[in-house]
Amino acid sequence: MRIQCPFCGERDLSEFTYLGDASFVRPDPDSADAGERFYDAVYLRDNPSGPFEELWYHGSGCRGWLRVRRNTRTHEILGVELARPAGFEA
Amino acid sequence: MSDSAHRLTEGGLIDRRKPLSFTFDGQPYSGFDGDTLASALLGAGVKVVGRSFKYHRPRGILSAGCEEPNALVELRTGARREPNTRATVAELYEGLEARSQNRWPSLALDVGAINSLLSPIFVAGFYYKTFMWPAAFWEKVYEPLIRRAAGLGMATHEADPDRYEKAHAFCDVLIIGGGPAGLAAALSAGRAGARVILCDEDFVVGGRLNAERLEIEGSSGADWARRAEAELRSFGDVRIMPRTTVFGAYDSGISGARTFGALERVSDHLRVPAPHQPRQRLWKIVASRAVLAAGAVERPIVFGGNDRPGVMLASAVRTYVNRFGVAPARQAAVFTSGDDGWKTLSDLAAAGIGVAAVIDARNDVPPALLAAAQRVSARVFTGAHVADARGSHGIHRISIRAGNRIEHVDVDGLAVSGGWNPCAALTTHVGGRPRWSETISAFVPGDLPAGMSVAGAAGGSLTLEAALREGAAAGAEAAAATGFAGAEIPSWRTSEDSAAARPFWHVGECPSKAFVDFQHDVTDGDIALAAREGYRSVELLKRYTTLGMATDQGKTSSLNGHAIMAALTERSIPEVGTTTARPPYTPVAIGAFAGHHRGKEFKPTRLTAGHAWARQNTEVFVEAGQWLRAQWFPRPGEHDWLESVSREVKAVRSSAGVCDVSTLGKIDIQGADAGAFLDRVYINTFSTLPMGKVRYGLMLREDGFVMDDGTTARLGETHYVMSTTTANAAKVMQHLEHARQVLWPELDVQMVSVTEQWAQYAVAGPSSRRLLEGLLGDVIDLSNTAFPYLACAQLAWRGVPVRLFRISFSGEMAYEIAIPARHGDALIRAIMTAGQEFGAVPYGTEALGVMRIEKGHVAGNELNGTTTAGDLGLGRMLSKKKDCIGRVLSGRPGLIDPDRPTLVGVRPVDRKARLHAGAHFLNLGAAATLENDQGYITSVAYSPMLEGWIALGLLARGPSRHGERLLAHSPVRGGDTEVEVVSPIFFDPEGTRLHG
Amino acid sequence: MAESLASRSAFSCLLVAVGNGRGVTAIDRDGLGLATIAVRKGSRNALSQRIRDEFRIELPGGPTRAAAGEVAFAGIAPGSWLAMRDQGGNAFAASLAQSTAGLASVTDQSDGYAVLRLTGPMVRAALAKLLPIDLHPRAFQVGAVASTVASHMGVTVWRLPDTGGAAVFELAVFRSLAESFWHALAEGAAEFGLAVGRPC
Repeated sequence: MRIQCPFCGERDLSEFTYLGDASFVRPDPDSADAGERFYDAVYLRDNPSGPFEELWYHGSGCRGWLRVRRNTRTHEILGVELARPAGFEA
Repeated sequence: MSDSAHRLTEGGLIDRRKPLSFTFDGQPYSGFDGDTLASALLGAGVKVVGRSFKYHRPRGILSAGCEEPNALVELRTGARREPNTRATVAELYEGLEARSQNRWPSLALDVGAINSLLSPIFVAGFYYKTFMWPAAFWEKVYEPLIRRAAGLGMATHEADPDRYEKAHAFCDVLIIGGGPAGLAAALSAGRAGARVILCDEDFVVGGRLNAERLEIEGSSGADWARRAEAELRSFGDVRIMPRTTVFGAYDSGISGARTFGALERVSDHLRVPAPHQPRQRLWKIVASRAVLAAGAVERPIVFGGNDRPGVMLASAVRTYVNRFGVAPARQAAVFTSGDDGWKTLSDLAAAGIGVAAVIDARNDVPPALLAAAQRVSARVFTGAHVADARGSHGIHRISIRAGNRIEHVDVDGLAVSGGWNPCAALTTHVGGRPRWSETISAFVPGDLPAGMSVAGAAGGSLTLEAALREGAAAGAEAAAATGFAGAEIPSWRTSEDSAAARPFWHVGECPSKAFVDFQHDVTDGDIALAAREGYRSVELLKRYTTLGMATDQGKTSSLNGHAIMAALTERSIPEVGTTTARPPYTPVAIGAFAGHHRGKEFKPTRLTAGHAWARQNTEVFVEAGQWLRAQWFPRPGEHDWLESVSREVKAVRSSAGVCDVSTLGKIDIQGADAGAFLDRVYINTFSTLPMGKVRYGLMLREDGFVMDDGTTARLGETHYVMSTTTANAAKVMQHLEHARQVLWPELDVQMVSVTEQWAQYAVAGPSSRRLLEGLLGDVIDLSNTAFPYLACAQLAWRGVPVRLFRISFSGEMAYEIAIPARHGDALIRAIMTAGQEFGAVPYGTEALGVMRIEKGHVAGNELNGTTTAGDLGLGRMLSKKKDCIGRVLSGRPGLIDPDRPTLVGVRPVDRKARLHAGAHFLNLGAAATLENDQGYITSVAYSPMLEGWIALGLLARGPSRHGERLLAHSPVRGGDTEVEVVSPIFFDPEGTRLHG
Repeated sequence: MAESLASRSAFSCLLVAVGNGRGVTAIDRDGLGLATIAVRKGSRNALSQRIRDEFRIELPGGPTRAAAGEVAFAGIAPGSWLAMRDQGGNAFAASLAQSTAGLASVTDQSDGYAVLRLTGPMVRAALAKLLPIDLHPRAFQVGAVASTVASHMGVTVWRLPDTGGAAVFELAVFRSLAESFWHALAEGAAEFGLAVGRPC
């Protein structure tokens, strides 16, 4: 598999580390049901068959965290963007 | 046995001026430059080259390519001995030594052939049926017996003396196969200007152009191939890689560029590799587009005695005659089900080989072919088949069944053509399914992997004209897709070449065994048995009979087996289906996958700046991840490690010791929000840490468990430097980058690893201050008031930036001093010199470990991914005033359960007894059951200060049980030991030594 | 001030010619001043202006290297560069930090990386055995930069202008890996002849 890093260009899978579901949003730690919400966010993940948005880490390249849209059935990569929104370092 | 009458006097691509001598089973033979081992053996008149896997039947050479199931030999001797080498692709070299396999005591007389008489017990599924019980017999009796009897070659037990390497290549167009379709594709893509790589497994490109008497533009196919190769080599961006098998297709990326695995046999054709050359090279080829032009493999036909030496694929017969100038027989017959097989007649006749008969399973044969048979005076049998071939060490007679009539014809060779199977494996490696073609009665590529096209026989187009036409079009199309459009698509005139055929798999009832899978000795009877017993799906058939599971992956057998199953179960072949091919297409040595990563180079080694100094003082190093760290520093007269380690501990605790701590992770963290960021990743607070101070920090994973610990120093208003454990450095960096880029991108934080920038040494012990004053006294005041415990400073010392931290892992007054790594060697030598007057010693990771256990400091054994801050006695560090990663889930009921195993110290009741890490705690008298488990020992050390073994452990309700006695149960190491629960801080519990 | 402190190149005692010929020449770049520089939030334009003023260099937006005189900036991540100065030593990072104070975070890496310059007629063939990236002249042009893995070791590579008709690359690896890296390089380059050039 080859992943198109938005900064480095397309690279071999071996340069990347997989994390998982990119839809993870850290719940509000001060909410009344924070415990339950964190539990859901940390443990109860979808594992869809087909297109899935995932977080990958380009640890052997630019150390960028990437949002990768991948078809989990075919390993087809459908899109890649930096997880860090544009403009935060600019 | 040697008989040069099998070598033709002219023709072929061998160089008769360059004879090469070789041995087979110790007998000397001779062949020519350009031969394979198989062609040289045939040329020398050798017919039997091996014994079969299960029945030990004599076997000859079936094919002339990588699909060979029979002619597997052990090549070379000693450390280079390589089993299961296909003689048909082994290039002959001077001095080659080969041995037949799977026979004892000799190839001609093989004791194992008795298996053939016992064949009723060796039918399909015999493993499952025969050796079921008694169960105890399996390991001791059955398995060794089967392994000895049914085996292939023997691997050497010595280390491989050759090198293997890996390499990467990139191209616009990868062309897999250098036959007519591949060469045409390369020419059109190359002329268009694309970067082209053409791989061919053979040592001469041209494929069947070298093996058939075909013509292109009026010249021989072989000559045309030479010219095409010369033109391709003249292009700067075209690379021809002979002896290279593309064995796997892997997933691609958005751009469509796909990764392929290829094996280049750099030196397999040499006795030993040339200096600095590898034996083999494993290529990862990334290609924007690929053209599969891998050709096709001819199918045998299943009939009685079809495995006997002398029965050969018709295409192989033509290859040996035309390319290698070898006569595989003196009087031959041809058994075919299509026009293709008839080509063999004229090729044999042109070489002066008699053609006794041609047997075509079809009733209707084109008149032109019949006329050709007449020209060579061959008897013609149409609507007929060969029912049996006789002659165990080489056939001498075949039985032909035409209607009810049986005729016997004396021949010493039989060329068989059952049609062609496209080599489409690479189209299925990434999920494509093959499609059944009625036209050629074979599976052809179905959905193709994106970016891959197929040309010629690999796609089921079996004629030369189609191969060239499709190749040229595919090459041009692939080049255009990568930005090299507009070039004219070449075309060529070819000689006539018909491949019309009717499917014919199996002749039915035969007087003797009819083989489907030669390498695994699977017969038509085994397929029938599987059908009767209900193993009718191709996947079950495969596992039950082992059809197609040999090293040849069923290249010549699978489809025949599936066709027979289809007939037996009254289904069509597409209904029966086919099994999926997986990489590698042909066997690849494990050594090639390892490349140069063996022995010391198995993985990269990281050496600290002080390594050369350490090497001069010890030979004992321990691997910590990729790092090498000094474990202890033995002195003359010391008998064992314990003596050395205990001395080092006592020296530190009584005066001073020095330890290289450069391997700990160091992360430079800067930015306006650096403090806020640290507050969110550590459980305690760092934004309030004063400049010039250090604080111990603990970080959690979001699930509430401890991730790592370390100290972080504040060097400036917006500048911190964090330390991590050696083991977790990279993981922590990834975790922090995730927090910075994904969780809180709005924070102004920048960070980078500085582990490698700084060489860092711990100087510990009551004399450490005076030692350092000797070094740094003129640049810093080290008094307790000016530089107290947990102070840090940046200095310039002898013109070099230096960082000094007053931190301690040993519990002694201690410092860590960091210097740019190029000066690390100089610094450690300077420290040791300055330490001489204090008797300072270097100490290694063992003494470090002993001292941290004596002090109850947690390390990797306790930070094991299952412990919480509370478990480690660090729960009170968790700030209530702020949130941090893991805070919420660390408060889950299960993680704050008071029954959770929590950090304690333990000592054996018998102070002389030894403790073992991993031992589980049991209440005295309790049975050793999971329900009674109270926790376990994590770290053990011999404490020279306490003069006995001590341990840290995790014990249910531990802190409330100090003074209690328990059993440390260690069934695998040293049995049970009665222990006393104590505080985890064994030494200097008040911590007075820390402050000096 | 006392006598200056001894300095040891990461490649010291390692660089020994292997094989016959000069297909590849390796040069130790010990002494090269290196620093990572990462832009502070909201300061990209100001930082670019500062670098322009100070060094007459346009900070690259992607993985490329811009050089003027002895100084160069190589893009290694969004908003992050590896700055280098020939013979700059540790002083380079200190001065760069000073001139970009408030606009960027600067970290000295002069000792963190061991840098080799590789050139010669067979340099690409030798590097093909190490680097999983395309070094074809069209794909990796003069000034291109890439961070990747070589034989399981992290490496940052950039291409300098050709000299003597041969491509020139510089490769930076973590200092602790210098020995393993040299072994991996020497194994693959030996067939072409690996020569050692004089430091520059």
